[in-house]
Amino acid sequence: MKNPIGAKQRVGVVPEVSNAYVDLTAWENLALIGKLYGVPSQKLRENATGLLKEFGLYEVKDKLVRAFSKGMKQRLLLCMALINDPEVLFLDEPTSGLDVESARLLREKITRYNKDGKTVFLSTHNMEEANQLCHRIAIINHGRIAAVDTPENLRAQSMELQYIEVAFNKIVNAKEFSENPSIAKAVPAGNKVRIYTADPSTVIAFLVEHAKKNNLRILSLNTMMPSLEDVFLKLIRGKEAVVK
Amino acid sequence: MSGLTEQFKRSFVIAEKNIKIYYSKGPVILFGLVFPLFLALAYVIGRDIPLKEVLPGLIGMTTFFTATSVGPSIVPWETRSKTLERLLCCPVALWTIIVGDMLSSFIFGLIISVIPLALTLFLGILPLNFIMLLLGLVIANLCFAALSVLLSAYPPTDIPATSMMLSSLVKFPLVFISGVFIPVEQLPQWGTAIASISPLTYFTDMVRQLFVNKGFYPLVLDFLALIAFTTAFALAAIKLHEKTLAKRLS
Repeated sequence: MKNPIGAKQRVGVVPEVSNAYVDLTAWENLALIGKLYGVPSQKLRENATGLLKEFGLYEVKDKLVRAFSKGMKQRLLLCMALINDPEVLFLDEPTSGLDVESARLLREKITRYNKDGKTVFLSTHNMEEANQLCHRIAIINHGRIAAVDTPENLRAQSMELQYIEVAFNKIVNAKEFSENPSIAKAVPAGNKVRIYTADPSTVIAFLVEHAKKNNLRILSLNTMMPSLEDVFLKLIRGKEAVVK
Repeated sequence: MSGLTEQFKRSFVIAEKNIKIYYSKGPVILFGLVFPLFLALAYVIGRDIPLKEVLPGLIGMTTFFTATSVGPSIVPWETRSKTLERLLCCPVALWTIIVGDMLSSFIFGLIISVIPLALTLFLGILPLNFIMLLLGLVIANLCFAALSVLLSAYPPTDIPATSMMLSSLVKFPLVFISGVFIPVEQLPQWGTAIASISPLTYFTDMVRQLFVNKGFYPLVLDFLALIAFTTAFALAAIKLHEKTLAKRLS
């Protein structure tokens, strides 16, 4: 990189580990980072006050960070990352281990900052979070990008991973379905049978016919799109690992 | 050039942070205040030598121990608490952080080393050239601060006690070979040769000349040697920290 200092000047970072200075107050932490980014003192005061109020930390701004809960520390880290009003924000597992309320607050703030025009890079193992927050997802395997696309396109690339979950009024042997050419694999899933297929409509017709023929009653039948978790596993370990 | 000035400003920000956090840490108080105080008392009490003769060694020893008490612990402490990573995410170079650590160590040494000097003046023992003595004190504190930060570079540990202990292994022998207890001119030839490799030798020699007008080296040489040691320690500290950073953060 030609100009790492210049690049860092435009970036805010929220690391995975809580690494605010516990021997300093929330205000002192913000002032330290603001000064290291060269934020002018008047603007620094305004930004710090605004952020602490927005993240519900203004009342405890003069308390040592040592006394903060994990959620409060994480909110402070986000304040510290935003103190210089960065164009790009890097977040590493920002909601990991947080209580539901703090996690939801952080997600809302991340969404809002993105809407305000900031580019947000979110690193997470939480597929649901990635699905909710990201416009584009890169799946990284052993340090290399295995795929980059929108969540919808990623799922669409793995349509062979969609499945039908069917429950009958009697327990049936999943192997009965495996011989149908439209069915990639059928596996028991509790009292249901999970049937992987690239052609759900043909399989649904087959299941209805099968129920009539064998005097079975269908209690429930759901077509499930592949989850991002499935897509991730397929890219990392191959299709078989998911279907298994 | 403006980038360089800005980085130096940020070094002062880091020094300010260090002052708030590390000056009150137990090991710093122990190695920087309690230890030199007791060593000074042990050095002075019961010796049948005029105070003026004892002063150079006393000032040299206290300055050396106080100025080297903060530096060795900062980087290991920050590695352990992951705050070093936090600092490195900010738009600062590694040398900016290292210079900030040196500055905080320097300021601590300067504040504390003024105490024996003030005591000297209070007792009516005046140096031959006060301005020269102050200048020497500033350079010596800078030199010892740079040495202390260099001592924290290797091994790249995240345990402050390890760094403190290893730095003590270097600091104690230096005190014994630096003309603190016996003036350099009274040492045998091999003793003066060994003494010449320690920066403390030149500071003690300088203070002796400025108080009792006796010294082994010319005063100019004492100043030049301290400046040379400061530059070498500071550059070595930056280079060695750069070299060990990846291992330190892994």
